[in-house]
Amino acid sequence: MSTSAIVEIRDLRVLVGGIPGVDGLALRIGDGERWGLVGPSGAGKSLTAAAVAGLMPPGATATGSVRVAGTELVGASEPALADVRGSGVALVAQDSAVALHPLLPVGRQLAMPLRRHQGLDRAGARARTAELLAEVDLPAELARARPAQLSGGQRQRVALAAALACRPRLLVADEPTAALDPPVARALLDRVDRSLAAAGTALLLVTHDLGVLAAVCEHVVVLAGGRVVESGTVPEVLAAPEHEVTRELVEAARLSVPEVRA
Amino acid sequence: MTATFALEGVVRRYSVPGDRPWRRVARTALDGVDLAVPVGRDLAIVGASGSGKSTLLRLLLALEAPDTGQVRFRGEAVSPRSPGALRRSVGVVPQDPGSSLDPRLPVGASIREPLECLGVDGDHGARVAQLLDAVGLDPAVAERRPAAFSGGERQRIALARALAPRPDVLIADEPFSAVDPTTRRRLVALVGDLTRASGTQLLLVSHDLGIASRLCADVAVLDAGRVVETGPIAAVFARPAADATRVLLGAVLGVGVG
Repeated sequence: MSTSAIVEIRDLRVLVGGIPGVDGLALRIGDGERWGLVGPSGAGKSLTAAAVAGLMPPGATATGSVRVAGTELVGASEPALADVRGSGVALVAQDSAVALHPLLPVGRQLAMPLRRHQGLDRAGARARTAELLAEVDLPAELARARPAQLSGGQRQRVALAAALACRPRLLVADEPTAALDPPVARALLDRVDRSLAAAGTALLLVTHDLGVLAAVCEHVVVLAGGRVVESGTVPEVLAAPEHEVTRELVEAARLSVPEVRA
Repeated sequence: MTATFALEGVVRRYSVPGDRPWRRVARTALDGVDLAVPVGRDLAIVGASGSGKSTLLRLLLALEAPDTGQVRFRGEAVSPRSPGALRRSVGVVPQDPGSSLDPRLPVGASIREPLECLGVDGDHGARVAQLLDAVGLDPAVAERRPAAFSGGERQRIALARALAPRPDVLIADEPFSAVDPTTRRRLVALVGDLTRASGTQLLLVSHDLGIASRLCADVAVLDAGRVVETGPIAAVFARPAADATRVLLGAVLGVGVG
């Protein structure tokens, strides 16, 4: 592919408490490409996503290279990371009940990154906040609501709006639908799909559900034990999984398709 | 033949927080449910969040009484004060065994507890070892506490505990939702094998229509506190009659789904 890369990971190793969580990982994501990171629990998916988002958990140390939008994140200072998070990369986590501030109205939480990264004044941020809520199919009145007043699906939409606020080139989503029931999950994924397509935003999606992967991603990397065991386009890998871990995930995903009899 | 469970005109309302901290409003969780669960037919209860699934389970378990209407177990009206034969005959697997198993008790003691409470005859220690073996765990782990186990292992332990007194009916509330897909697949097979081998009737609440269709013969679809569709699960999923069923089927995220 000749597109420029939004993410280039080379020989990434992450130690958590001295134990390798990611053990020599390489990955290149071209501008606007959509990649899924799948694998069983403990494979290193979330740590890889955290490294790309510049949000390593406390106690984790990374070596190797993670370049996002041309900036090296491994060993970067916190102010440098904060700048990349503003416009280069944004994160949607599994449960926004934890990610969102419980006491602040969601409108103010959406306005904060706009003022920090885009230098908008109060009125400008307020206008853009209304646009952002509309973009994720939420009514403008919800700007005054606090996270606890929203449903799980509404909170994830707010988190998506916050992530897309500064028009990042890459969205990192770590199990964004794991806490949602299927109709709500499906609607959120459709929304993610349309928003990314409209802005040409690249995606790194962490999931262990291949059904979720197939709904929004073109490419997939399968991790096991902190290493890449298989990668390719989503249709290829799902049709002919080569590694045992991938085969198990495909079997598990087939289980979720109802058996019907006419 | 008498049904295992029968609900007749069941209404259940709760008082929930309103738009101000000091206000409360009534919410109707179940809005006139009639449902018969024939003996020996494994039933899946499906529906979106908030459709009333958990309330229905609490009423079936006689943990709560309906505001109006009646819940019958084998023809007898049951309520929290007079659960009749229900406590002895029905086992429960909760959604999250991380919070339902007593963290201070070795898991062997947790599995043994219902045997003691119900005064089941026989060698309880031997039964615990047999159950752990049946759910694929080494009987030697009986001395460990829940924190020493993974989520999938804790769910196996919860299953062993529920099956300990040899219940006629096993009620499982989203037992597979908190584990990763590979673990889920093994647990689904285990629940299927164990209930079939012991002739235990399964009542399963699940968001996962695929798993429901593999474990259960019948389905009841809940929507906004009402049962909107019932019938053999493969036929209902092939030709859904209710909008709510179509919405659930349309939301299936699976491999090879159009």
